[in-house]
Amino acid sequence: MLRKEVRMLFSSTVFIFCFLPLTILTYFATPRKYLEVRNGVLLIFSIGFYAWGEPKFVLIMLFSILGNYFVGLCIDKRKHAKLFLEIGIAFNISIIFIFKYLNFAIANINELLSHVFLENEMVRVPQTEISLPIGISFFTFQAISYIIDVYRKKVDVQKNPFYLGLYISFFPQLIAGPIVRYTDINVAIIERKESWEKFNVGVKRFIFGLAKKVILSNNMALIADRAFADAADNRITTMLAWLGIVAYTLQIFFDFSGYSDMAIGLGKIFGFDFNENFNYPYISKSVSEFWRRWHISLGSWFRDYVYFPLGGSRVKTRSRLIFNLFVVWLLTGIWHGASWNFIVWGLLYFVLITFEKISGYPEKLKTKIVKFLYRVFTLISVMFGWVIFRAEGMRNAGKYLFALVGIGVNGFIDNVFIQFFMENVILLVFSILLATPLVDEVLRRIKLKDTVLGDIYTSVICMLLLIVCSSYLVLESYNPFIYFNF
Amino acid sequence: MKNFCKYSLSALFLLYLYSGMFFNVGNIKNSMILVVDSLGEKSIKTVVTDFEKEVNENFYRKMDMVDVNGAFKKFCGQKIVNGTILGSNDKLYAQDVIEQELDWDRERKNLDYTLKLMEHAEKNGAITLYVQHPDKYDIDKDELPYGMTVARTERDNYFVDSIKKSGKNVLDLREDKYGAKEFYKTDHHWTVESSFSADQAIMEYLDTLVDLDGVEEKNSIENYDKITYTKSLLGSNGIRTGEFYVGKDDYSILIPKFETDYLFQRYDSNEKLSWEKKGGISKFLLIWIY
Repeated sequence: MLRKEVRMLFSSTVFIFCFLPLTILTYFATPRKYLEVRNGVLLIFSIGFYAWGEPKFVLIMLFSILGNYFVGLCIDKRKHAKLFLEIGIAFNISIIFIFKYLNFAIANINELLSHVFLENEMVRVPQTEISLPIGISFFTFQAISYIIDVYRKKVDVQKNPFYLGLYISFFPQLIAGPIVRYTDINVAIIERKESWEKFNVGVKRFIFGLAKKVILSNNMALIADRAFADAADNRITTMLAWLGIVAYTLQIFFDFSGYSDMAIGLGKIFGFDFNENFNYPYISKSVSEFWRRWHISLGSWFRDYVYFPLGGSRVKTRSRLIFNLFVVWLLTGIWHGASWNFIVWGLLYFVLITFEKISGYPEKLKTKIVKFLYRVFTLISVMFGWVIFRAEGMRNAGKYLFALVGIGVNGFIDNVFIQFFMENVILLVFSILLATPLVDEVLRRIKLKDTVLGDIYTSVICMLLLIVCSSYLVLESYNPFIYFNF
Repeated sequence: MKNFCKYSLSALFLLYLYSGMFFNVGNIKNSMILVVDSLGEKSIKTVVTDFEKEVNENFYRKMDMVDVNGAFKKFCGQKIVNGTILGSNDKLYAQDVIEQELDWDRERKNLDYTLKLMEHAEKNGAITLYVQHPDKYDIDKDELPYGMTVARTERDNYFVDSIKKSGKNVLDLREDKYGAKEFYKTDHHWTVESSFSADQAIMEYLDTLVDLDGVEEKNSIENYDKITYTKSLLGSNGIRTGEFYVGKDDYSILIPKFETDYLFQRYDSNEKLSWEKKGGISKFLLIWIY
């Protein structure tokens, strides 16, 4: 499901040695008292960032910004506010539907028609040539949250279209999140204070994020890609299937959380504070907890703008609760991409979370061993979910899941497994350790934080990581783009 | 001091970014000029991809980046690095060659052509000799990691066996007795010493077939001066992994002590003679070629 996308990535030499230094220079060369100009600088660079490789999509984003700007103003006038809110939501959903789901809908309609009209090729809806603008799901959801928050009077309407434009298009969070709420940065847009303190934290965060993506995730991707390709070609062994699922579990975490770290770090460099998006999801005790730790900004978006308005958990009947959960998880699946795999993946979480809500597990569980087993069950469920998420088509997902239990495999173990395991054993160990709070805990206990020695260590480690990452990028090592569906 | 240490990361980060940008200004400018010309012909996507490739290709001190990358991968214990594979003999092999699958139909045709050529030459009174050169990729299975195998050995054996069977002269330089199997660890080429041994073996074999002049003088290593440049060569595989991964090779040259008389000519792009010198090989190798 990975496609070579021409996009400016944080993990690219052009971004690190050209775009970022120019943005920082222009931004900080503008005197602090001209905050409007600084915002203008960020807006212009953000549009340039989005235009890189596919400039036509900028028009869609600008169209979205203008549309939401006017909808916001109309809602703020309070006359027919609900109507304008509905128009605004329909406007945003139309954009995302046309660019992301139209071809998927047409493909399914054609599938249905092919059953009804059998061989008659004339009775088909033609596919469109529309391609998917990167990050459309992120900026559309940000726009929807803005108009809803204006309607709910949680925030004042933004009367300056350029500032709203900056909120929607701000390059750190534009293509891979986190989904930033307008309420989180509306104050920062008009009065923020950049500082060396924040800059330093931002730099550290950016470098750690970059290292997660370039060193860990990209190397894990090599294993996962081979395993999924072998499964599709019916030549996978059981051990490679397990290695592949572990690798993909780590790849997607370090890829996504790495991007979030880079976004949060870049935000801090320019004086913005974005909310955390990941909190060691793989140590979760339950599936529900997993979703409170994984892609937090998306989970909380669905909670606040879909689940709660439907009534949430405080509903009179169990069937209503199940319906609410069904809607949320169906939408969560669809949000991730226009494919049945994502829908099935979303519904898997609907089943698991509904089970937990109704049964009261794992809170009801008494002994430590059973609680531990439930934790293992959670992790395995998440990993199986990633197979559905990653595989190309449900048939291949099925093949892969069967391979995990030794069905349809080409043996138990082979040289391919040994090669991929041995080549990456150190990175695998580091990845597993860094996916847990263990390293953070050790650092906390040795109390290096905020000491001179700690600062020196941090600087040395960060710079070494940055240089190693640069070496991977200059050598154009494998650098997949996992978000094109989103 | 405390503040200096605290903000040293930001200072180093900015220094790194801006030096990277500064030293690559020429690179970025040239890459841009190169791709802008193709704007009308290619899509913007392709132009942007080409631009990024150009920038990376000509990155300032790219070999330093390769060194860092190789050192990191060595730290991670990786044996497959940037298109090369590290053997247990500490030599680098090109991954694409190791993974190459042979087209046996083509190889059979090649063998057929070789035999026909030898027969044709013999019919016309020539003496023929098939020399099977050693190949860096003629390696045992246990010298490669993860049970990898190379198809080339099988092909070379097939050629040698078939040509021998047809009664032709065959010199298999892969045999240990010729001492011609040494290759650079960072390159696929023979070492100079190995190629000298191979030359010796070929000359001796030919001398048994036809009486050659001065074989003994040319064949004796005593009649050559050897100059060795230690840790000086990073071959075609080495430049992919950097010098920290397996180190560099020693490189030697052999200069004949006896008189040599050569005519060196250089032609320009219009195929006109632009330069001509007469003299010994040592002058050519050590002075004129540079």
